[in-house]
Amino acid sequence: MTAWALRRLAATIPVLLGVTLVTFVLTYLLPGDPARAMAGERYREEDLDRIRRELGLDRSLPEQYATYLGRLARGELGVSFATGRPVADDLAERFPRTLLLAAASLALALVLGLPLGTLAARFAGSFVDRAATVFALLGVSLPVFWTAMLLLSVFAIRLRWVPPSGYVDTSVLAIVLPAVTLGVRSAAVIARMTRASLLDVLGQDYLRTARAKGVGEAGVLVRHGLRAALVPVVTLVGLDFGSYLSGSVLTESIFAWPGVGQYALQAILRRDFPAIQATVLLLAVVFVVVNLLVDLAYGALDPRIRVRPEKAGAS
Amino acid sequence: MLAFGLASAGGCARRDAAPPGLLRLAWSADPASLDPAHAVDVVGASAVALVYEGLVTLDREGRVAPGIARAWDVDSTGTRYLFHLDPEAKASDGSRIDAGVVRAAFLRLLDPSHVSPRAWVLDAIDGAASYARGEGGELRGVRALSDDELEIRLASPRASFLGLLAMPNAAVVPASGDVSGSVGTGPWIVAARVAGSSLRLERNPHWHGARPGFEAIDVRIIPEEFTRVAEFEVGRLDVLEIPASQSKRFREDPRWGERVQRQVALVTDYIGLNNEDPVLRDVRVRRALNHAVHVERILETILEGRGVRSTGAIPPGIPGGGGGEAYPYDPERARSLLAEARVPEDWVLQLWQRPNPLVAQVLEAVQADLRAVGVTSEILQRDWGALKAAIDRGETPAFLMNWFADYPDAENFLVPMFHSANAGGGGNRARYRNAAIDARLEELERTPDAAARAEMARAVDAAVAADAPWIYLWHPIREAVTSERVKGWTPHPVPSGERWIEAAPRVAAAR
Repeated sequence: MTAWALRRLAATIPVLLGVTLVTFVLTYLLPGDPARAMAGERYREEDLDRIRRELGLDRSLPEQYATYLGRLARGELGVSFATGRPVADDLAERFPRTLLLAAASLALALVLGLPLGTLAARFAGSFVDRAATVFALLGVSLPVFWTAMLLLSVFAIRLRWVPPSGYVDTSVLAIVLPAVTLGVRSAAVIARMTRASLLDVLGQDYLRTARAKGVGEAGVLVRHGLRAALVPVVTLVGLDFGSYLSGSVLTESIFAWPGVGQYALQAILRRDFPAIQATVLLLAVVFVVVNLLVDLAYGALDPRIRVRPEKAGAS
Repeated sequence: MLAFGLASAGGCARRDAAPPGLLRLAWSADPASLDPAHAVDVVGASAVALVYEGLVTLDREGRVAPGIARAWDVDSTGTRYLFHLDPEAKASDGSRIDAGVVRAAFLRLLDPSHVSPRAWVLDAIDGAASYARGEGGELRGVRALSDDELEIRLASPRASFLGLLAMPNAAVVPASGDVSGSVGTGPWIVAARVAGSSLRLERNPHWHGARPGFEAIDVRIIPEEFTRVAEFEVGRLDVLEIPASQSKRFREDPRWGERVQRQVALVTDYIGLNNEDPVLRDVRVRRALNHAVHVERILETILEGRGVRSTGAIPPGIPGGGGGEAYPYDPERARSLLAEARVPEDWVLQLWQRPNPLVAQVLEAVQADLRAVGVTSEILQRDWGALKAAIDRGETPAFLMNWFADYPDAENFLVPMFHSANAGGGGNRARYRNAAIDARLEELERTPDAAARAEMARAVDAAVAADAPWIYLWHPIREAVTSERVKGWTPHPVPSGERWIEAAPRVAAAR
């Protein structure tokens, strides 16, 4: 298994290299340049030229890319044009915050979505099922910013149960609103997927066998049925977790959560090339790792698709 | 709006408890750097102004006031300044700020290996420009005559020099060169910082000026306007700059109405016209556009009165500003000028803007007014970086922008925005070129007498307005509100002049 995982990781290196190349080219194609962003409202052309020289922006694109790859090979992500700090330090500070928010959002999504989807499948066609469907529809239809503002207005301003914004260093409750904003949407999709997948599984023969052997309904549902039904849900969770880790820009901005999403947005607006490139690379690595974990989870959930080294190419 | 109404209707009275000596603020972005040499945006400049002090500062009326220098003399030629430093001026580590430290700070700003985009602030100093270009030699224009006396010689008289010295970029960093903010020369020092999230400032124990009323400041970084308003409403912020959409609500709310303060900002909002554009280079077309747009109606409806119609570039509140006549709304006159100029029928005027909903509404109204006189226009939105780059390269026929005062002097508006040497990135975004106006602006820069300068500035402003390089809009009115915890504060006319010294805790009456 370890050898398989290592081989999988090694296979992603060309992908990551491709990501760096595409990002590099795209950032240079962006209109506006970092030298102007650093120079501010009023500057002299000679100052602009000097800034470009200092940042190495006066060299050709292939030359700059080669320098960038050389730095990457040495484990350096570069220095932010805007702050003058190593980008690695900036990301090391911010990524754990995004990770915390992602974990909280995912936990909420699972705690809400799985039971809801399970109940909807168990009582398919009943009021519970219909209520779950409405919840799911609302969850996926409401735009994130609308949900965020509604939650802010009701729970922070009117009821004063939680602070409107901030990071957990000012108040532990600051995580509640952003986690709910993100988690509710995922919970809705997880509920629908769980319901559909479980309905598919509930009609299977092996569950009838389990009942015949005297396993209680809860045991049939959760231990036998849900476990098999979770495979597509795990894919969904993986995708969602990956997207949370890329930093939900809107949510982080609205709730002033100082994570990777906000950092990426600031970097793009400032044309902070090293920060943009490093952030994209980080997110690519995150997706690779999350996909790997998802594949491993498949095997844990369903022995029929357990990955063996000799079957690595089939997954 | 509905959400806010619902939320405010029955909110319970719980307030976030904070120690009385703590002032709680919010900024819309994290300062990229606390280095005075790299503070090019409003947030950065505001941060630097709290932690570092210059030779001079700006008082609450926007006039130049003593800083590290307690007094100064200017000779009759206007080129020799002698600053007498306060012997009590110390950095927060207790080290003395003497003439040598001030000189070192200026050398640092001009250091060619440091590439400060604001080195131009000290350009007027003899030898500064060549020093900044790396042409070597001494900075002959700055000499420490003694610990307490600093002599500055200018290459030629520059009446606004003291205003330039009041800019945060000219602030003095400590002798150690530490620009993290943890050692400062101003009223506050950075005690803690969580990048992207918050900044904690405490009083500089060695600061020579008046002791700030508050003991500490907590600044939180809150990018969204809606969220800042929410934080203020629940009592977690003490000062809020009220967004236009919330203006009426705050003014009419009995909780805050009396504490809302309004001020005409030292800002000018305008629609720049590319004076090099084949159609717009004709002054008749530019004047026609000014007559076509019903600015007063836009001010009244979209801005709800939060602005003063501009008659020129200089805002009222700056000597030389606020006089003259605005272009009257006259669509007939507009049509006749356009016909006279033989504007091609298929001409489409591109109106560029940054992504801002209020600006979008304004430009839609402008578009409608232009259509009424037969001018077709299209609105393009670009993010700030792309918009600025396009403007600086002369690719934008028309663009809605603004200009903030760095220091309250007419020169800060007229020279960057209308002198031909500044066409493009220097501030003259309209690429307006007029040799006669250039000469008058250069004379303005050399004229020391305040009354004469004001008159001269007014005349130049009116002459430029007659050339209509822009569609003149307004000077915005800023509104701010404080919580009941704060007393003694009025908004500073220049954002980077705010140092939170006069603001003090309002102690609640015993019940």
